[in-house]
Amino acid sequence: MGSARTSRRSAPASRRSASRAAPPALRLDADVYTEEALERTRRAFAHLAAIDLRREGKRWAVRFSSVDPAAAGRLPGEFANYALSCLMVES
Amino acid sequence: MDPKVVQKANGVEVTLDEAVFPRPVGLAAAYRFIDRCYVLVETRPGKRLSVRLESKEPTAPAERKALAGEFRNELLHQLVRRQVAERTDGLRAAIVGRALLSADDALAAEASAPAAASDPLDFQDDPLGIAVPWEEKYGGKRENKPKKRSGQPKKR
Amino acid sequence: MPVRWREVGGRVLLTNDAGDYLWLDRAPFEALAAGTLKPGHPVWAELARSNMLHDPETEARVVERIRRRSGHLQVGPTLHIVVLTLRCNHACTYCHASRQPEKRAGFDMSLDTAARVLDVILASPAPDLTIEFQGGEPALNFPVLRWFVEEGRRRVAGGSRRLWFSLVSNLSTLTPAQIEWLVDQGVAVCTSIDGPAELHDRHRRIAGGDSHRRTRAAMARFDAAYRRRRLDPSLAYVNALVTVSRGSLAQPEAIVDEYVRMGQKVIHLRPLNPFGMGRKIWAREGYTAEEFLRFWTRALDHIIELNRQGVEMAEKMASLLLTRILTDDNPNYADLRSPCGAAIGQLAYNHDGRVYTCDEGRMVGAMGDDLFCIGDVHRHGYAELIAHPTVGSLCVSSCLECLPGCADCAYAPYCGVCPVYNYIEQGDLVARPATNDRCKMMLGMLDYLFQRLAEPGLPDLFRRWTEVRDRSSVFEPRRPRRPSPRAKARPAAAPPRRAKKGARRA
Repeated sequence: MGSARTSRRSAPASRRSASRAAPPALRLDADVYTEEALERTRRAFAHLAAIDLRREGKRWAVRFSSVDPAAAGRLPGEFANYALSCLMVES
Repeated sequence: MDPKVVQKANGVEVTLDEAVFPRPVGLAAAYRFIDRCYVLVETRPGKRLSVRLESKEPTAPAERKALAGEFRNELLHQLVRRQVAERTDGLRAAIVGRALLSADDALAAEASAPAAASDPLDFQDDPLGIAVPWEEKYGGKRENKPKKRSGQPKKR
Repeated sequence: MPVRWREVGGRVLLTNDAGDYLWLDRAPFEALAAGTLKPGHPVWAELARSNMLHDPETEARVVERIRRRSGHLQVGPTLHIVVLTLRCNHACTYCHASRQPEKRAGFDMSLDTAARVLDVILASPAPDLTIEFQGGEPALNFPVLRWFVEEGRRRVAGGSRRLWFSLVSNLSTLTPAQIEWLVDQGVAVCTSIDGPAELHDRHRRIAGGDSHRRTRAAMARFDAAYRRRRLDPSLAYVNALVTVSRGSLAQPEAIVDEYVRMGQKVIHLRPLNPFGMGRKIWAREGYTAEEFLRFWTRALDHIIELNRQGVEMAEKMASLLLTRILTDDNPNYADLRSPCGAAIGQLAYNHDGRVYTCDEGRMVGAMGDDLFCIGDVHRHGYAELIAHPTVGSLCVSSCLECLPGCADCAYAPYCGVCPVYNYIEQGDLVARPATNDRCKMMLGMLDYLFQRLAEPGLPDLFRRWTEVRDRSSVFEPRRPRRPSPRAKARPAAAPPRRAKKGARRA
């Protein structure tokens, strides 16, 4: 499990204009979502946004920037769904 | 009454007792809904697990009630599935192992080769990961490698 | 050694893993379940005779029989379904095989692909191999069909392996010369007749609207060709099956009667499956499990009545289930075995060389989902295909002794599951039995058969449905014969030969 200082950031999405309003941060229970699952998810979604993954106490904070406008509305929800599917593989 | 269901803006929150529905059961049930819901899972005090299902499309109250009912049915299915899988673990490894060997003479030869005599293929070892449920292996992306339970994978 | 039970019609049916069964009234069953039934009780001896009581002798006997009943675990893939083309001259209202128009190019299997397919097939460890040609209409790619038969026979010549061929065709494009060749080569032929002409032609659409007439005419030509070769007509015939669509539901008796008129001894009432079919088509042609069961039980009632009047006829699905119930024989039918036949009992080869775990998996592939594709003959050999993780996954998810709902079902010794069906209908390889239409159909069919088995005289009648005559003599290659004027003057058929009982083709 990552430490409180853990912070990873995907490469910025450079190929398109960013959405004006980034989606809200996603806060995921660190007792449920593993770092491995979230890291895999971050990599899978890297083409849609720059994703900052940071451990904050008992939660993971996932912040999105430079978001593909076409994906902005669904990004946090689909990110969480994908992370859940990664947990299934790990279990 | 367990699990507890609370209607939310565009979905439901179901809270489970992990002593009744172990976490893998709750996760497996939640996973079944990711095609039509955004799913968030969180722990709650007292070994409880909250599963929030938010519909991807707008829903009426009756649909939310049905969603909660479906989720509870799925919980029961996953619980029974887990119990049956645990109870029949050895049987599954034996039957499926035999079936796969019949289709693969290279593997069958390996299993019956003299070298194997000192290290006989013990189906309980499940080197092919046969007894690992499909969802566990490939619940997400299909490129993931099968999980090994014990022993070493047979080299092909 | 588990004993499973199910309440049917107010009584309790007990079964064990060897397929033995016993009816009990509610009171002795409850005593048995509570552990209070004593050896002196009248049903004790019946329980012992039916191998329901645990003791070492019984267990040894049952284990031996389970081994025999599970013979499919020993042989590997015997059935190889080769899709020679997706082109078809029919446009059936319920078609689920991703058909392409007859004149459209690019959907035939090439000789290069065929050669690679044959390499894979012959690498299978099964001692007996059946190559089944399907489509589209496979006869539209007759040169490649012909190559498969001739090259396949050449490759196995002199060895101990046996190679069988089967053509699933609407027969309407076959020329007289092609029919003669197929009979000479011993290619088994199976076609579709959905019932009386009006019903058949309504669903099996072809230019001219005379599909029924054309298929029946071709069947007659096959019959004549078999007779000219003096083959036993009770063994040498074209098999036919019914695809049950919504239009069929109201007329089970008429459909059975059509098969009697055709001289068929078996009718296969095959439910429509949802693979490769759009929702609009299913909405028009599909039906519920309950509707199918009403149709099927009416048909069975009618067939049993015909049997009592001396007409020989059996329903294929019933005869397969009865074989599992009344005998320890293993028909090795992909849908009625555990694990199912996907990849370990059959493989399906698309016209372009893609390989699927089964024909159902190929149909899902035609819907744009290649989950059940395990490789391509141009890039993968047999060992790589069979080592694909999907093969193991399908094995695990169809091992019904270990599945929720199936593991404790009284019908587990006779039944089978289809993970591909579950995937399409319920989004998971493992069924939710309570809401699974295929499961409902299987339960309904088995309930019916067990209830009828309890009637006087029915066990003997049903036992006849399990007797399979060895037809292998028809399906061996033979020297081409041209009928001489003298031959025409002879009786049409040789006296029937008694076939080896119990033997069967794969």
